[in-house]
Amino acid sequence: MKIVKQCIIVLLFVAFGFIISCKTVPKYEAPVEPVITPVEVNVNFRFIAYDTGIANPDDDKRCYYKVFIDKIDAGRTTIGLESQKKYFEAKLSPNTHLIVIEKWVLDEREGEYKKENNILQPKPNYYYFETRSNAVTEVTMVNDKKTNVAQYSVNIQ
Amino acid sequence: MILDLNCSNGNNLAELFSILYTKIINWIGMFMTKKQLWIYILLCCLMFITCKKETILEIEPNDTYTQANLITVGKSIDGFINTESDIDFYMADVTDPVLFDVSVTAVKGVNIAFTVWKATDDSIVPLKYVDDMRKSAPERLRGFKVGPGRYYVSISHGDKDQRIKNTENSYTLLINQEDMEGFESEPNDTILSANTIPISVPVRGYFSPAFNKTNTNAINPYREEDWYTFYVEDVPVVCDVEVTGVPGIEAQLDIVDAQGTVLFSSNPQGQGVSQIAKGIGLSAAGNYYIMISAKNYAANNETPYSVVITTRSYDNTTEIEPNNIMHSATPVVTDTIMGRIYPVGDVDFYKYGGDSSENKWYRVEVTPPMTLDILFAIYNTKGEELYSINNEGTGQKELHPNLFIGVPFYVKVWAQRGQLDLDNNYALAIVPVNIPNMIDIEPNDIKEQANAVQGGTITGYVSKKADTDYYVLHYKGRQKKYFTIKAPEKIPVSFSVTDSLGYILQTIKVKSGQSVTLHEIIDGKGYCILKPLNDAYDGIYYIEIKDKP
Repeated sequence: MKIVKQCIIVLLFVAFGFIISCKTVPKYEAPVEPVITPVEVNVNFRFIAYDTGIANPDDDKRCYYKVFIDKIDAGRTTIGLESQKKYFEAKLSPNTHLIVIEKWVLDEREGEYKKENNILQPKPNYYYFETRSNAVTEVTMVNDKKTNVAQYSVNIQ
Repeated sequence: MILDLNCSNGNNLAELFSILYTKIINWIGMFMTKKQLWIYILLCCLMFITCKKETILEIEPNDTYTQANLITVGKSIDGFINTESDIDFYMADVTDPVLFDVSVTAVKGVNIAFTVWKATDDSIVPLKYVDDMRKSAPERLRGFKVGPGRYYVSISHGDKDQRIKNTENSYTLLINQEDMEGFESEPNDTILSANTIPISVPVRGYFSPAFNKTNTNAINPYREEDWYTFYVEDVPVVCDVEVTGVPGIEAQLDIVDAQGTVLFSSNPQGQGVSQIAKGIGLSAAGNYYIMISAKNYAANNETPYSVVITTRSYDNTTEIEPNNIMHSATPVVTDTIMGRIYPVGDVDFYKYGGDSSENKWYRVEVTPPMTLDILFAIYNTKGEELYSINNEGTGQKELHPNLFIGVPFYVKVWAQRGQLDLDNNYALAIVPVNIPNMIDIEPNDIKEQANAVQGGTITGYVSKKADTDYYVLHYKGRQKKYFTIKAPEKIPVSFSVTDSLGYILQTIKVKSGQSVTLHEIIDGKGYCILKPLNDAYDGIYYIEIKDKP
């Protein structure tokens, strides 16, 4: 009988703990999923970027890449964790083009994205690629976060 | 003998007196010598002094009213508290209505008290019991109205201290009468015995006596109160009541309606200071009551107070006190309404508009006198405070330029702690405004309060110091947008665009009165944040959102 009473008390404490903890959990606001569908339907260029070599989730920060095409500010990639693929799409004229990227990382304390230190920027931060009017050129940049060495690959579909 | 007063030269006054003196001396000299004259003068003086010191003493037994000693008004009588339970009755007859001033001198070591009674057909009824509950202290009752009839005064030991006799030191009872023109008529200690007071005619009264033992009010027991009443017929009216200051007295002034609701209750102002109730609104015809009393059982039998009531018809341009709670808010039917912060701690509520759930834009301004640091707040009908405005300091205007609300709503006006201004009004102005594309609904100072942007234009206000405005954008998919921001005149601003979580992607500064354009990609959802870069406010800004430059 005594054991049953003790069990009930323990259960009540556990239940109370759950209620308290439930109350303190902040309301979760789901991030808007990046929509990959191009703004303009007939895109012929796609840039994908992500980081590897991240061992600790604490080091996996929210970021995006600012994209300059032919030295013109063309916009930015979608936002995601460094380890996640981030996308940028555009319709470019059939030609050879230069893409230069700039990594911006979220400073959670300040509540805003700040340009990553030059030392920690992917190197190289540029790549030349070719586009066609009837195919999509997909450039993928994989950055090793430990060494900040970026590797580019291109795929024409 | 015939005195020959003809002067030799006939016109010198000094000479005339000199001759008169000589003639009188000569005339007296016919009857007595100079020595006898001096003795006679001495005897006269002695008689005069003796006459002055003549005292009338009580005649015992006078322990019941049937044994009362008859006394004359204006002549004193001495008596003794012969035993611990001794009561001395005196009676006086009154032929015309007068005010009695009844005083009994102190008896050493005895807490003396007296009661004024009125004779009825076969008994007497007590009218007033006077006891300041102090030993060796005199008692006095002034301003006590009596009509024709017989009155009794009984003197006995007071209630407070141990009853003791004193057969060595006498008391002196003196009843004087005064003209009752323009004076209160004691007893007026309760609302039922209130004196009728004419409008705009001052009435005087005394803070006398110190205690009223018959007052059993739980909050203010034994408080001596003077009640007055006046009648109001043509309503609504606004009344002012002023009670002059009396040395040594901190007065309390209450105004009560016929249902007993306290319309006004004065705050402490200090001793000798007037108590004033301004702009008390009277909306129902009928009797209203004024209560005047002294705090801390103080009394002043020498200097009367004067109370005067003035009324004026209500013209909708001033507040109606009491309006200290939402329930009694003054309706606002004109663009501007005036009010006063008086006394200290005064709070004024105003009700704007009729019944309509449709929200509209209003500009609310409160312009204070130079003496006040005014504040105001907006309340909805549920009594919830929506906005509290306090941007400026003393003498400076407070405003809310873009209040978006349905009617009715309430405005609460008050001043910083300890401030008051009896003489100068503040002005509350509530003006409907119509600004196209205005979507800046305060409060929108944080992400969770962001205003949704429907079209491509945002018009907003820097409503207060350091006002931050959040707007939320919703688009289908990723969209590149061009934002053109035009800053208010005199207010430089910063403009930020955020990601879907509210983290800032980019920020630009826009100089006052100038326009700047930036572009940013919105991933389905994002926020715009606008902040002023100086302390100025009350400035309108515009943000245009386009798909192309």
